[in-house]
Amino acid sequence: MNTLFKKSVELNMKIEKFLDIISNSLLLFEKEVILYLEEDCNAFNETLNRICDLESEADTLEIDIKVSLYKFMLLPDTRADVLSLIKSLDDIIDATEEITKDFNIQRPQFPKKLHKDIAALTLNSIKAAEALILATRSFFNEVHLVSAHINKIKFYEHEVDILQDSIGGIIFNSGAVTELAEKIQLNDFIAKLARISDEAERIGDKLTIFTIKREI
Amino acid sequence: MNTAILFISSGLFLGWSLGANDAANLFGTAVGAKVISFKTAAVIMSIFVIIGAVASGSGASHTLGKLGAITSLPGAFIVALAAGITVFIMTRYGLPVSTSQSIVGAIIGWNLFSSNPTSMATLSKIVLTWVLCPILAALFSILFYKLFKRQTRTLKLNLFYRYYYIRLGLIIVGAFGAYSLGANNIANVMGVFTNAIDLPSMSLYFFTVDKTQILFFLGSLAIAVGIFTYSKNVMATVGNSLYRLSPSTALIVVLSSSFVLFLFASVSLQDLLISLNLPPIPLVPVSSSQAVVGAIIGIGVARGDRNINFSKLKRISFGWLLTPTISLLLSYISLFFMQNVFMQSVF
Repeated sequence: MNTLFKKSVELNMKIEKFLDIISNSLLLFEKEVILYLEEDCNAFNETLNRICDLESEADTLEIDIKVSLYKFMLLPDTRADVLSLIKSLDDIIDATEEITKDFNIQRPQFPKKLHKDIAALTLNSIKAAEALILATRSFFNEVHLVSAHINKIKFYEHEVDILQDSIGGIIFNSGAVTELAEKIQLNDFIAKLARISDEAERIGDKLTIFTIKREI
Repeated sequence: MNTAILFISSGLFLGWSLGANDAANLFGTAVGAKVISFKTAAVIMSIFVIIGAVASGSGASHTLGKLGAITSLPGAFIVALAAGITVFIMTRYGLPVSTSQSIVGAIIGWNLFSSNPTSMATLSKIVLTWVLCPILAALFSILFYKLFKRQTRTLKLNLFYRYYYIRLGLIIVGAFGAYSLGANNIANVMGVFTNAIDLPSMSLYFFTVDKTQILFFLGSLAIAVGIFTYSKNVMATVGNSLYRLSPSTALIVVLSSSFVLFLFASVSLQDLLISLNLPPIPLVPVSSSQAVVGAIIGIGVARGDRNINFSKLKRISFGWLLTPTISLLLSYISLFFMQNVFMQSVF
C-alpha cells in the first residue's frame, strides 16, 4: 500500500506537469498569433519551435500517464474518466500546434482593420482553454470549484462566437477582401482559432459529467 | 466424536451458505473494482470472521439460547438443518432471506415440538432488533455520509490520494465487517449446538479454549470455506446490489452495516452501557444483507433522493414473516421424523 501511495504522488505530479505544459503552450499560442499579425517572422519561428517542443513533451507525458494509470492506479471507472480527460486535453495542445503550422505554411493575409478583432478572438479562445485547465485542476483537487470554471469556459466560448460572426461578416461583406478563395481561407483560419474554445467547451461538458460521478 | 461431527454438519452447512452469501456484502465492491484480489479479500475475511466468532460470538448466541435451549444433539441437528434448508429454498426462489430469521423460526419449531415455552420477552426483543437493524443502518449511513462529505470538503484531498484512502478504507472496513459478521452471525451457525454438545476444553500454550469457542471456531471455518468456494460467484452476480455502488458509497454502506452488526454482538459494549446506567443493546443475530439495504436507503435519504424503493422494504418485511414460518414448519415436521422414524431423542 505504501508503494501505491508513492505511485499516487508520482501520478499526481505527472498530471500537474502535463497541465503546466498545456497552459504554457496556450500562452505561447496567444503570443504567436500577435507576432504573426505584427509580421515579426523571427520571433514567430522561434515561438513555433517552442510550441512544437511542448507538444512533443506533452505526447510523451500523456503516454507515461496512461501507463501509470493502467498499471497502478485508481478504480476502473475513475481511471477511464481521467484517461479520457487527458486525451482530450492533448487534443487542445495538438490544435495549437496545427494552427501555428498552418499559419506558417499558408501565410493568410488579414486586412489591417481585422487585427484587433482577431487578437481579441484569440485571447478569448485562450481564456476559455485556460478556464478548462483550472477546471481540470479543480477536478483533481477541489471538486466543488469545477462548475465555477466551467461557467467561465461557456462565457468565453460565447464571446468567441460573437467575434467569429462579426469577423466573418467583415471578411465576406465589407469588400476588404475581394477574392472568394481568400475569403474562404481567412474565414477558415478564424474558425480554427475559435475551435480552441469550442474544444474547451466540449471537454468542459465531459468534465461536468465526471464531476457529478465523483460526488459521493 | 464422529457422531458429534455428523450432527453438527447441518450447522456447518448453514455456515457455508452464510459465508457464500454474506461475504459479497463486505468485499463485493472492493473485489469488483479490483481494489484487492479475491484471494486476498477471502484471506482477510476468513481471518477476521474467525477472530470475531471466537472472541465475541457468545453474546448473540446467549440470546438464542434464551429463546430455546436445545439440549439434544439430534434436536440441534434438525433445527440447524431446517434453517439451512429454508435459506436454500428462499434463495432458490429469489426471496429475501436471512439465516438469523431462519434459525429463530426453527428454534420456535423445536420449542413447540418439545412443549418448551417460548419466551415472549426474548422473542419480542429479537423481532424488535430485526426491525431496528435496517433502520439503525440507515441512520448510521446518513451520519457517515454527512461526515464523509464534510471531511472531503475540509481536507481538500487530491483525487489520487482520496482514492488511495478509499482503497485502504475498503480493506479496513471490510475486515471490520468480517469481524462483526463473525461475532454476530456465528450464533446462527453454531448457537443451537452450544447446550447440546459436550466437548472438553482445550488448553493451548497461552490460553484455554472452551467448548463454545471450539464450536464457534468450527462454524467460522465453515463460513471461511463458504467464502473461498462460492462467494466469488455471488460477488460477480450483477444482481448483487453492492457490486454496482461507487467505491466511496460502498465504504459508507459497509461501515454502517458492519457497525450495526457490531452493536448487536459486542458484549463489552453492552457491559459499558450497563456500567454507565444506560439501556443495554440486545445481543441478537441480525441479517447483514438487511443492514446493507438499510444503509443504501440511508444514503438515498442523505442525498435527498425522493424515490426510495419501498418495494424492497416491503420484501424485507415479508421475509421477516415468511422465513421463520417456513423454518418453523420444517423444523417441527423434521423433528417428528427424527424422533419417530430415526428413533432419536430430540429434546
